[in-house]
Order: sequence, then C-alpha cells, then structure tokens
Amino acid sequence: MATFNKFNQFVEDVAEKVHNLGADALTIALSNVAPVATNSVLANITEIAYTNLSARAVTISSSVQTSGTYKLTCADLVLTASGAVATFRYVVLYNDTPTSPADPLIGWYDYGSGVTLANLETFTVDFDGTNGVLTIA
Amino acid sequence: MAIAFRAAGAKATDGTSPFSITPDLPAGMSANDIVILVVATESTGTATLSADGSVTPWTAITGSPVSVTGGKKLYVWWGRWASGTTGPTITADTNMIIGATAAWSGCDTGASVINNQETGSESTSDTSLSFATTISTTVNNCMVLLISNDDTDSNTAQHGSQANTNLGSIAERLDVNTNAGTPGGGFQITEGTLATAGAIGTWTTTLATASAKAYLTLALQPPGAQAYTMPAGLGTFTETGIVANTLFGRKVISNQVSFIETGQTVNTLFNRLVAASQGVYTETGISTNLLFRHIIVSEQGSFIETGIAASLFRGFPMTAALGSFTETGQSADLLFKHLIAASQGSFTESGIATNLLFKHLIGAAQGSFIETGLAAILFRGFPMAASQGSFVFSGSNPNLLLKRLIVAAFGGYTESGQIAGLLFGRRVVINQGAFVLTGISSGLFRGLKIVSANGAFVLTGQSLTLIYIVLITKTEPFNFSIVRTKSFTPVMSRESKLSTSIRREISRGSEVIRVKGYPVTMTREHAIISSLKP
Repeated sequence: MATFNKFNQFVEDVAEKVHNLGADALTIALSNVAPVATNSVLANITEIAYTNLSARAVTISSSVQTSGTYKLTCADLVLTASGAVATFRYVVLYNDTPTSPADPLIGWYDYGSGVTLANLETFTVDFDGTNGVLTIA
Repeated sequence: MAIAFRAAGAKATDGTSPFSITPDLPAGMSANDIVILVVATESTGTATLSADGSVTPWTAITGSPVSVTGGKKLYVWWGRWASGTTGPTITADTNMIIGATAAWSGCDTGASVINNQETGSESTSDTSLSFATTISTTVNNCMVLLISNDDTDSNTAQHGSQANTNLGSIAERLDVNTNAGTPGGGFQITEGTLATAGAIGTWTTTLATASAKAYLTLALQPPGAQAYTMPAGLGTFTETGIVANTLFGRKVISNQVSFIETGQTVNTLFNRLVAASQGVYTETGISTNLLFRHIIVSEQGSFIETGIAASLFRGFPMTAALGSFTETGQSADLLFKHLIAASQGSFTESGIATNLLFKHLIGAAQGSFIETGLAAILFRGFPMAASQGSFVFSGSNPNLLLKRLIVAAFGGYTESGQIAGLLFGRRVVINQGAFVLTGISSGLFRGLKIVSANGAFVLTGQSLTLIYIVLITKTEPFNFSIVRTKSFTPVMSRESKLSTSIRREISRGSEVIRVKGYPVTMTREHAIISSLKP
C-alpha cells in the first residue's frame, strides 16, 4: 500500500476554494524525482515524458460527506504503455482545472522502486474504492 | 526485454552401454532462463531422463520424442533455471546417446513459455532439410527454435545454412555430433525471431552428410505484458476545530486541545456569570448595570464596570465588591427611624433633611452626616431627649404649663415663649440662670412658700397678695415680727413692734400692713411665707 503524502499547500487551497474536488479534472503526474511536501503546483514536479502512455485523467466516483467527514473516491486509473515509457517511481495527484494557481497539487505516492513500462504493460493506480482517495474531517 | 540466447552447454555423448550422459548446463545463466535439453539416440531405442539435476522439472515438449526411420530419435525438454550447475542425467538403451543444453533469457516467467510447437521428420536420407510448419505464434516477439538431428557418424557439426523467411535473425546456437555408437549422430538448434505473432514458416537447413532427419520447432514466448499495480493509500486531512464563538451568557465547553477561542466579544449580561478559560480572553461587553441589591459577579482581571449608577434605596443596604466602584446615584432619603448602612469609604449622603420626630432617635453612623431637619417641637411638660451637639431648638415657644416642670440639659437653652403662669401654691423649679419669669401674676397663696434659688430673682409682677400664713392656725390675732433683711422691708404683726418707717394699720380680722407704701393684706389665719423668718 503506497502511502498518501500530502502537499502542505493543499489544505490551504481547500480552505480557499481553489479545489472543487467534486467536479475538477483530477490528473496523475509521474515523476522519477521525489516530490516534497512544500511543492504546491505541478510546475514544481519533475515529470517524465509521457510518450507511449495512455491518458492520465482520473475519474471521480464520488465526492460526499457523511456525518461530517468528507470523502473523495476515484476510479482506478490504468496507465497502458504503447511502447517504452520512461522510468518513474512517484505518482502525483493534482488538479488540472484551476488556473490560478495553475495545476495545484493534492498528494503523491511512492511506488517504492522505479517502473519502466514496456509496450502493452500497464500501471494501475489502485485507488481505495471503500475508504477513498482522501478524507477531510 | 526481448528473448535472447544465453549460452549453450557442451555436448555429452556415450556410445557404450549402459548409455548415459549428464550434459552440463550453460554458463552464465540467470533466474528464469529457459533451458532446452536436447537428446538424440537410436530411433529404435529409448532415452530416459533419470535425474533432473539443478533444473527441475524438465518438461518434454509436446510431440517429443520425434522418431524417424533410419535415423535418430529426437528428445526435447524445457526447464526453468533458478540456480545450480548440475546437469540432468539421461540414459538410453540402444547404441548411443548424445545430449546438450542451451538457454535463453527474457522468456515468459509463467508456465506458458512454449507458445507453440510442431514436429516433423524426413526419412529420406539427404542433405537438405525443409520443415514447412503449419503453426503460428500467438504473441509477438517469440523466439522460434528449430531442433533437428542427423544420423551421421561424425564428431563434426553437420548443419548449416539455416533459413526461414518468416523469421528474423536466424542464428545457429548449437550444432553437435558424435561418432560414439554405431553409428553416431548429432543435432542442431537454430533460432529465429518472430516479432509479430504469426506463422512460423518453413525452416530449411543444409546437412553436411546425407541423413534421415527428425525435427521439432517451438516458439519461446516473451513475458506477458507486465501489469504494475500500486494500491493507493488513503489521505486523511483533519481540521482541528472551527473558531468557536462565545455566545452571550454561555459557557465554552471543550476538551483540552489546541482549541482557539477568538470569537466575538462577550457581553456581560445583567446578573450573568462570565465563564471563560484563563487566557487572553477579552471582555469588553456592554456595561453592566448594577441592579438594586444585586451582586456583581466577575472574574478577577481587567473587567471594567462603568454601568449606570446604583440607586440606594431608602432603608436598603448597598452591597458592592471592594474596588473602584463608583456610586453617584440619586440621593438617599433617610427615612424616619431607619438606619443608613453603608461600607466605610467615600460614600456621600446628602439627602433631604432628616426629620426628627417626637421622641424618636436619629441613628446614623459617625461621619460627615449632616442633619438639618426641621425643628423639634418641645411639648409642654415632656422631656426633650437629644444628643449633645449643635442641635438647635427654635421651635414654637414652649408653654410652661402651670405647675409643670421644665426638664432640660444644661446648655444654651433659650426659652422665650409665652409667659408661664405660675400657679398658686406651686413650686417653680428652674435652674439657675437668666430665666425670666414674667408671666401672668402668680397667685402667692397664703401659707405657701415661694421657693426660688438664690440669685437675681425679680418678682415684679402685680402686687402680691400676701395671704395669711397657714402654718399656725389661730383664731386670735397673734404677734409676729417682720425682720428686715437686705432690701426687703419686714412687715410686723400688730403685736410686734413696728419700725418707725412703717405705718402700722392693724385691725382685727383683716389688717393691712403696708410695706414701703404697698398694702399687704394679712388675715389671722395666714402668714406670709417667705425668706422672712416668722
């Protein structure tokens, strides 16, 4: 289980209505350089080239609160290589909708080792369908 | 990672019964390398894998062994290398045996490493081999092998010119032969790549020596598409409390954490407590009114109380905490017979004048209390009780009733009322002083004393009728004398010797004695009681 690591700026962005987690275009970015908590926008992330990789858009399944606890649930994202893909290790979740700040970051995961997708290989970001991607209480 | 040839081991042969070989494993292998074990023996005999060695298990390729009349029988197994260097042991029961191993890396790590296979043979002894396969691969990038044998009794490799137009990168990886046995024989392994899944096509090979041939083709498949999965952990964000507003008159109840209280200002309501934790709490609410006879309850601190003035009701105590409390309210009326109870301090009471009722006390604490009430009426014949001081007694003139006493304390008492009637036969009791008795004429009854203090008592009224004394009752005229004392001219009885300055007029029963020309009536039953000696 890859641990969710939050970007510090995310909590402020949530409070200052930067995110609409129920409607915005959440997206996955891949990096082979470890992000840090003080990163705030996608421009802070060293992304790999996404050549030969399928779309990275995340589908939001639900965005609701229950008894005062908000939960964001997303569908698993399957990235499929149509050829060799650059090595990556870190999976970053960000919001592709806002323009100011542009592409604010939400959190990231560490796969634990570098992954080099070959043709037809897949990388699945297995979001927790029960507990969700994140909760805010 | 594409499938690649790793290495081939040396051939092992045995032409002497019992026929047994243990071919070496290829050098430099890595885990999951696929090892192909090929053995040839007489087509009429049988080879048996008697010991696996380091690779286990060995799996015979479907269709193996392949036998050909007039030639050798071809055996092919595959196995997955993990570790070790011990080769398998194979025995044969007829004529000879030859065997060797070769390995490829990058193959599928599952059980389906052999994507497809097909066997064939040519009993015609010639130098050309043509194997028109009928099978196809099902996945891309398979490595296709052609394994074929010969029945040539030679230690020299017999195969060459391998070709297959469907494949790429045709390469001979193993070509061994032996002359052990009668005759000996050998085999080859040639590879070709098939990038796109499809027909393997036709293999062709040229042999150095005409021979019957048995052959087998197989396709090693690459690993299936790798599926990486990253279970994404849950991200939790905790919000540690919204700011709590402190409502009017309400308590803030919260567990001890990093709770921050920065709410609106707390108004201190009338008669309510302010309950708040210690800290930088600021209390600047509306002013607190101090209700009548109510307590102000507040935590110690910078609380400022500037409310309306507290009214001090008449006769009610005012209870206030020690401090800078300021009381500037309306004046307090001092009710009759009621006390003013106030704490020591700068309390100022300047109310209306206090009425001093008849026979009632004024009870007030010592201090600057000023009492300027209306004058006290001194009724006739009643004592006046008042504390010593600047009490002013200026009321209506007290009537000094006849035969009543005036009782008053010593002092500047002034009595200037109407003239007090001095009744007959009654005593006038009065303190020494400037008392002036100017009232109506007092009847000086005969036989009664006029008792007066020694002093400037002036008796100036109308002529006093001196009544005959009653001290000695006689029926007959009696003698008495009037003794001159001081300014008083004595009056003599008729038997007495009268002074020459007084004309004697005595008659029985009613004689008049004149004193300095004023007539004095004297009866025989009465005497004059005065300071004179009888």
